[in-house]
Amino acid sequence: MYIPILIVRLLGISLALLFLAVLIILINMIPKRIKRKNVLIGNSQKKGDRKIQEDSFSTFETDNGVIAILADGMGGLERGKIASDTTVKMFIEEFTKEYELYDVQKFLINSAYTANDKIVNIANGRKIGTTLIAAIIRDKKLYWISVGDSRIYLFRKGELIKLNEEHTYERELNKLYEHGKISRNEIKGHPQKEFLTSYIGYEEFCELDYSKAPIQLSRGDKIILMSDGIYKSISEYEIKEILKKRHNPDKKCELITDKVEKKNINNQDNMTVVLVESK
Amino acid sequence: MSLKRCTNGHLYNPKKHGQCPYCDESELDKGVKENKKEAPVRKHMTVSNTHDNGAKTKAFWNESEGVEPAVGWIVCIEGPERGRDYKLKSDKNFIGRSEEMHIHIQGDTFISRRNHAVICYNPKQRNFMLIPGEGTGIIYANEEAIYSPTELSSYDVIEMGKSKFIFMALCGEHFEWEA
Repeated sequence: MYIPILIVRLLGISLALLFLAVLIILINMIPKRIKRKNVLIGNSQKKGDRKIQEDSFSTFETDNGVIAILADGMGGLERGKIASDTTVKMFIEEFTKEYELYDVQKFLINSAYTANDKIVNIANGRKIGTTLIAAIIRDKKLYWISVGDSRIYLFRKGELIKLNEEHTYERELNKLYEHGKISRNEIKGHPQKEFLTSYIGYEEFCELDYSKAPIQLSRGDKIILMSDGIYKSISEYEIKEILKKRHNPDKKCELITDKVEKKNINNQDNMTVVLVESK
Repeated sequence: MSLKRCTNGHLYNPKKHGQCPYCDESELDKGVKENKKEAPVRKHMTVSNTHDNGAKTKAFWNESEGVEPAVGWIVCIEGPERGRDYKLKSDKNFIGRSEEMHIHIQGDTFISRRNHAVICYNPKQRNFMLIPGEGTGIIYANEEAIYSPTELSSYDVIEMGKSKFIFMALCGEHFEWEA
């Protein structure tokens, strides 16, 4: 009579273990299914006075986090659109492909170099390029990169803080001014001050601005990506006033592009704004 | 308000728009076709300045230049900006001292800040017109005072303020950008 009891006991134990294993698997699955959305996103884009929209943008959410990208293409005759669109699509593809993103900052920087090679190949000697702002928010931490003169801001407790430094010749001129080589007036009237000193599609591309350390986001923090068509036409004060209002992010983005349009600026550039709000 | 995300990652209000208003596939396709029948390769342009301490400072991209194709030029032959060329784009080119103007002429205080004159390229008729603007000074074309829109031909001399410019057409009888 020994053996049957032993078998029953063994059976009992293995069933219990099995049940435990299944329970553990189920518990691990649940958090992913009822995961709350950590961010609210909005976007708006308009052509301005230009014939073609050469800005591109995109946002996506995966288990690796949220990605927001903005690119302002240049090259005329619709080539700018190809540059910005290719860059944005490439980033999104790489981001959504990644099973698990270990080093977010490295991913962003490497993707920028890959995008640059791609655009240089497409350009084939011609002058085609794009600016780029790419931001990833994961576990409430913000990582970003920037090339060119588009902007990324952090809006926190009523303050608008520009995170990146644009790659324009004006930056070089400011350095000359600090060294006492030129005057403020010379910078103001300088015909090349808005030239870009780095962009995606540049054969000798190496200058890239990025978050030296991830920024911990709190509830209510907002990340704003915008092309120069926005900030060259309306002031940071005007942008702040819109961000302070009680609207959803998409409405705020719409109000920003509306405000730019109402200014009726001569030859108004393409404008794009993307807003990611941390909950 | 529940937004919808299109396949390109754009958020839009489905109640307002039947499909994503930010996706414009037709324009992109057109661009790809343009790419294929392109004119010969242009050299990569950089502007390099070497200042006192020997370090090279670089400026690579003129944003305004890359946007619209040139249809002609005016070149300053007399005045504070003698030697400088100004690119003309299709449709209206507003001329003035202000930086906001398409043709921004520095240094000549006898040229108004805004809308001193307009040079207009009509792509349908493929002709250039010089239109006097709001300035107090008279504009001359080939020594004749201009009070109303006047057609321009290459090598015409335009006088504005204390400066003189030669006009050169690229587009017209012999050439036009394909749409």
